Amino acid sequence: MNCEQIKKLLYFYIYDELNNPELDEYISLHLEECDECYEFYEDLIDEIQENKNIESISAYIDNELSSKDSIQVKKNIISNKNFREEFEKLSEVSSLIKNFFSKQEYNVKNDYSKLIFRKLDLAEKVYGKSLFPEIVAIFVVIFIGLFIATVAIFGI
Amino acid sequence: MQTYKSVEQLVVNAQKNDYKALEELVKKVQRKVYTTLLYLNKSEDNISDMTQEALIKMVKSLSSLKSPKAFNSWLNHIVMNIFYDSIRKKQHKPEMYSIEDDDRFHQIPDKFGLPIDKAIYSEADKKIQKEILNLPEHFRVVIIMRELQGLSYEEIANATNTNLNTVKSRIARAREKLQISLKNYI
Ligand SMILES: [Zn+2]
Repeated sequence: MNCEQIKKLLYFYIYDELNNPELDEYISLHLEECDECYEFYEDLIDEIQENKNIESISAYIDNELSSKDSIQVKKNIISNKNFREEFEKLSEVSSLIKNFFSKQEYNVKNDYSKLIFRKLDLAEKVYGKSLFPEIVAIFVVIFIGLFIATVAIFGI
Repeated sequence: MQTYKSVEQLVVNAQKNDYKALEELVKKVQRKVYTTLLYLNKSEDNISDMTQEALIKMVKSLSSLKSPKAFNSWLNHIVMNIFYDSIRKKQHKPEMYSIEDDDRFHQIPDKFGLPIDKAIYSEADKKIQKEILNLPEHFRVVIIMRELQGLSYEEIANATNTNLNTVKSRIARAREKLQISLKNYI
């Protein structure tokens, strides 16, 4: 195996996901002998660690860590400058997006309630029975009454 | 008039055929449903129809919701299904653009404005909007669920058919991407 092939497998090697003890052994030996691959391996571990830190800071912001992990992140934020800066940046981006979305939500002026209750045939139950037909009927009766009265009085 | 009730209380009352509570519930959630669909879909096309469809489904099946506490994630399932259905429908129509189509995307900021007052958009808001819409879909979906809907990681994992670690990693990476592209506004 050449160095490029080894490098491609290192991620799986670190996560113990090779599922091949011989390959595992082969890579271990290679790392002991080859400086170039060993350096790559160390960088990869740093990168993975950094990603993990960012993930736990982000989950900490969302209150999604176990209390044990949450205490650990809190300690790191207090004691480590890089950690603290990352925490501040991610918190700010989170509230920026949250505020943006709530502004967007607030600015939606459409009201679909009447429309959907009508479509669902629930308008009467939600808004009560409409009095419109009754009111029209009363006016019609009054009008006819007046008409008949007019005819009767003036005898046209 | 009883107002300012919690969503959960409105759900409980609406399930007991309290129609005023049902009306209030619809009014309370419709903006969030609309905004969610708008940012999932990336354009205003059909958002009104999709919002109505979601609200109708919600009212129709509200009685089948077992736990009022789970209302938000339950409603989210309805909304997501409608969104994925609309993608499937679009894929059957060759004349429509694909979701990630660049040209279409660049038109979006101008397309907002029918229900949303254009004047309220500051430069910063326009930029934030652009960068959210610019996120790859699997990042955009988790950010909408987390920052707009306020769902928990577990609820997001269920809704996206993934696990907690994936959700955790996607939210973190989406935030990092946004942090980089929006660093002038933070
Ligand atoms: Zn090597």
